[in-house]
Amino acid sequence: MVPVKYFAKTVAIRLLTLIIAIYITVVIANLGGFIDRIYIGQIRFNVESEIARNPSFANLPENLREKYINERVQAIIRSRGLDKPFIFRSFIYFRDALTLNLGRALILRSASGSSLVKDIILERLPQTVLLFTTGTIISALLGIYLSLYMAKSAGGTFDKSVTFFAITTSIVPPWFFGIIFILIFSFYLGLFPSGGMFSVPPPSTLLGYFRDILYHMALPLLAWVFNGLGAWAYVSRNILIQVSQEDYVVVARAKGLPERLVLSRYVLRPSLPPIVTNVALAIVNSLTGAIITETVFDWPGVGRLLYEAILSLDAPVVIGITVIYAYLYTLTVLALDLIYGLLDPRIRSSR
Amino acid sequence: MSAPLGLREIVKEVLKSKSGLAGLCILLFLTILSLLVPIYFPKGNIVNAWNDPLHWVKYPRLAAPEWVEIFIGKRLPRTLDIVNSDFKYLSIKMSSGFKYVRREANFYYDYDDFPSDFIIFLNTSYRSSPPYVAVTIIRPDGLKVKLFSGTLTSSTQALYISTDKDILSNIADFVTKVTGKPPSALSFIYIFAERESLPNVKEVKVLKSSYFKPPRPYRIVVKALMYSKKDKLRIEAIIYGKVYGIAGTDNERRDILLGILWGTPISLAFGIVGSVVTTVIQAFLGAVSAWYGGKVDEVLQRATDIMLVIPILPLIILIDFVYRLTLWRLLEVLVVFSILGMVTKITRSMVLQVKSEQYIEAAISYGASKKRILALYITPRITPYTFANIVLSIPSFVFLEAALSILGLGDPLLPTLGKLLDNAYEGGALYHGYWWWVLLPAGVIMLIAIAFVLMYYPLDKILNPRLRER
Repeated sequence: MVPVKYFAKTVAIRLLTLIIAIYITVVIANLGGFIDRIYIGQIRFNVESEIARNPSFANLPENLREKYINERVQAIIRSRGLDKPFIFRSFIYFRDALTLNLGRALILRSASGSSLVKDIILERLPQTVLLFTTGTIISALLGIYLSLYMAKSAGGTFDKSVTFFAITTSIVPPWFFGIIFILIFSFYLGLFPSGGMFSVPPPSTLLGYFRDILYHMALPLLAWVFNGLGAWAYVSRNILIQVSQEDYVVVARAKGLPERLVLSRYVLRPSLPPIVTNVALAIVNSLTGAIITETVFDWPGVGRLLYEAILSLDAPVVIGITVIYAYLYTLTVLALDLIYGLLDPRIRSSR
Repeated sequence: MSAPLGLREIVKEVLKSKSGLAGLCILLFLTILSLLVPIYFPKGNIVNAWNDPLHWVKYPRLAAPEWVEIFIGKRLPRTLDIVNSDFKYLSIKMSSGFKYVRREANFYYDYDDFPSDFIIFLNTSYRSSPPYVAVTIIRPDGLKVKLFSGTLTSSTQALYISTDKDILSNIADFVTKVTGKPPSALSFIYIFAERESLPNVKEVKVLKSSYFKPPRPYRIVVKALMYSKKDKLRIEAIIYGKVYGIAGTDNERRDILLGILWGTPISLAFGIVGSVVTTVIQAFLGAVSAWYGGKVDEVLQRATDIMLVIPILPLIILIDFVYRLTLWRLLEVLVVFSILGMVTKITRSMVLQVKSEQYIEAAISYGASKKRILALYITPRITPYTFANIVLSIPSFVFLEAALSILGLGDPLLPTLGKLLDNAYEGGALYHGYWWWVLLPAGVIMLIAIAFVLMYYPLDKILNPRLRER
C-alpha cells in the first residue's frame, strides 16, 4: 500500500521549505534592495560620462544639461523597473525564480554572446560536472571501499591512522591542498599545469584535446579527492561499525554464517540508505562547483561563474545558480524521502 | 548515547590521551609564540607598521628564511645597512663659501651569492642649491667603480643602483674598461664580481673580502661639493641580502614572521569565537526544539531546513564584497547565517532520546520546571557532543577566513594567516617558487588544524563508545 498521506505531507513540507528559502535567497542576493541603489548610481555615472564625452552637449547650459541627465537616468530606471519599491520587485524576482524563469544577466555574457542566465550557466556546467562530479564519485567510491577495511579491523592501527588522516584531510579545504599542490607538482616538479583547462592553443586532434583536458584536470581533481576521500571513509566506517554491532548481525555470526555473507547481506544492505543519501547529496553539491578551488586553479566552471557574478553584482546570475541548487537539493532530498518511505515502513511511522 | 560527562571530565579525558595532550601542546606553543610579539617587535602599532611601506624600506625584498643555508650549503647574503655615522669624513675643505667633503665607509662582503639589491639614500639640507655628489666604490682588489656623479635633484634622493639606467651603464663601462669587452647584460652585481669571472653575467663569481690576507673591505667613497657652509649631507647605503630572519620577507619587504606571529592569534580568535558562538547557539536551539516540542519544534525544524537549502557561502561572499567587512563584522554576519544548522538537527535527535529516559520522568514527576530540567538534566547530556563539535569546527572557521582572504575579501588592514596566504598567492609566489611565503603561513594554518583534530580524536571515542573496538 502506498502511504499517500505521508507522501503528501512530505512533499508539502519540502516544497514550502524550498519556496521560503528561494524568497530569502532573492532578498539576500539583492542585499535587501541595496544592489539596486548601486545600479542606479552606475546608471547615473554612465549617463553623465556619456554626455561629458559627447561634444554636442558641450555648449548646453548647466541647468539644461542637468535636466537632460535626470530625464535620461529616470527613463533607464523606469525601463528596468527600478522605480518600483524593492518589496514589490522582490516578489517579481521571486516569481521568476520559482518558475525557473531566470531572465537575463545584467553584465555577464556567455562565450557565445548570449545574455540569458540559462545559457550562461549551461555553458559552465559541463566543466564543473567534468571536474567536481567526477571527483566526488571517485572519492566516494574510494572512501567507501577504504571504509570496509577500516570497519573490518576497527580499533586497529590501520583504522586508527586512517581515521586520523580522514578527519584532518576532511577539514582542510580542497583549495588549500590546491595551493600546496601547485607549488609542489607544478612549480617544483613541473608535472602538471598550474591552472586553466586547455593549453594555448588547444591540440587539434580529438584524442589530443581529451588528453590535454585530463592533464589540466589532474591537480584540481587530486586536491578535490584528497579532501573528500577521508570524509567518505570516516563517515561510512562509522555507519558500518554501528550496523555491524546490531543484535541480528551478532546472531548471524553466531549461527555460523560465512563472513562474506554476513557482510554483504546483514551489514552492507542496511548501511546503504544513509550512504546513498550522502552520495546523492554530494553529487548535487558538486554541480555548483567550488568557488575558491575553481578560482585557485582558474577552472572555468559554475563556481567561478558565481564568483564573477558576485564581483560584477550580477544578481540574476547569483540568484539563478543558487535557485537551481536549491531546487536540485530539495528534489533530491524529496526523492530520497519518498524512496525510503516506500522501502522502509519504520521511517513513515517515526515521523 | 554517551554517558553524561561534565565539561571538566571531558577536558580531563582530552588531557589524559596522548593525542589530546599533543594538540594542546601545539596550541600552547603557538600562543606562547604570539605572546612574544612585543619582544620581537617592540616599536608601536604593528598593524600600522605592517601597512606602511616606509617602515620596510631597509628590509630585503622576497628574501628566503636564513635557515635555507643549511640545505643549500652556501652562505647567503644578509642585508648590510651602512648608516650615516659609518661614513667617516676623510676631508672637509672650505673655500669661498663652498664646502668640499669626502666621506668613506667600509664593509666586508663574504657571502657566496650576490646581493639582491643596492640602494644609497642621500638626504641633503641646503640653502641655495643642492650639492654635487659623486659616488664611487673601491673594491677589495683595488678596482674603482664609478656609480654616480651629478647634482642632486631633490633633498631626499635615492640611488637605485640595480635599476637606475645611468648607474647601470656606468657599471657596464667599468666592466668594459677592465675586460675589454662589454658585459653580456646590464646588472649591478658586477660591482661584487671577481675580475676574472667578468664579463658574462651568468658566469660571475663573488669577490669576497676574505680572499685577501688580511681581509680587505669594499669602500664606498662619496664626494660632495656643497654651495654653503651649513649644507648637510646624510648618507645611508643598504646592500640588500637574499635571506632574512626566520620566515623571510614578502614582495613588499615585510617580515613574514611578524605577520605570522600577529596573524596567528587573530586567526585563532576568529576560529574559536566563531565556532563557540555558532555551535552553542545551534545546540541550544536544537535542545529547545526537542524539549519543548509542538509548535516550537515545528517552527525551528522548518527554519533549519530552510537554512540548509540556502547556499550560505556565496551570499556571505556577496555581502563581504559589497560592504567590505572587517574581520569582526564578518564574524557577526557568519554567526547570523549559522544560527541554525546541522548541529541543531543532531542535538535535537539526541535530546529526543534523552527525553524519554527515566530520570527525566522522575524530575517531571517531582515537579521540576521545564527550564530547570533543560538546564540541569539535559544540557550535561549534550555537552560532550557540543564540545567536540566546537573543537572540530574551529579549524573550519580559520580556513573560511583564509578562503575569503584568497578571494581578496580579507580584512583590509589586519595581517591574518589568510591574508598572508592571499598576499603570496596574489604576489605570484606559487609560480615563482617563493615557497617560504606560501608554506610558512600555510604550515601554521595546518598546525592549527592538526592541533584541533588531535584534541578532537579522544572526544570522538567518548562520543561514539560503540565504535571503539569490537
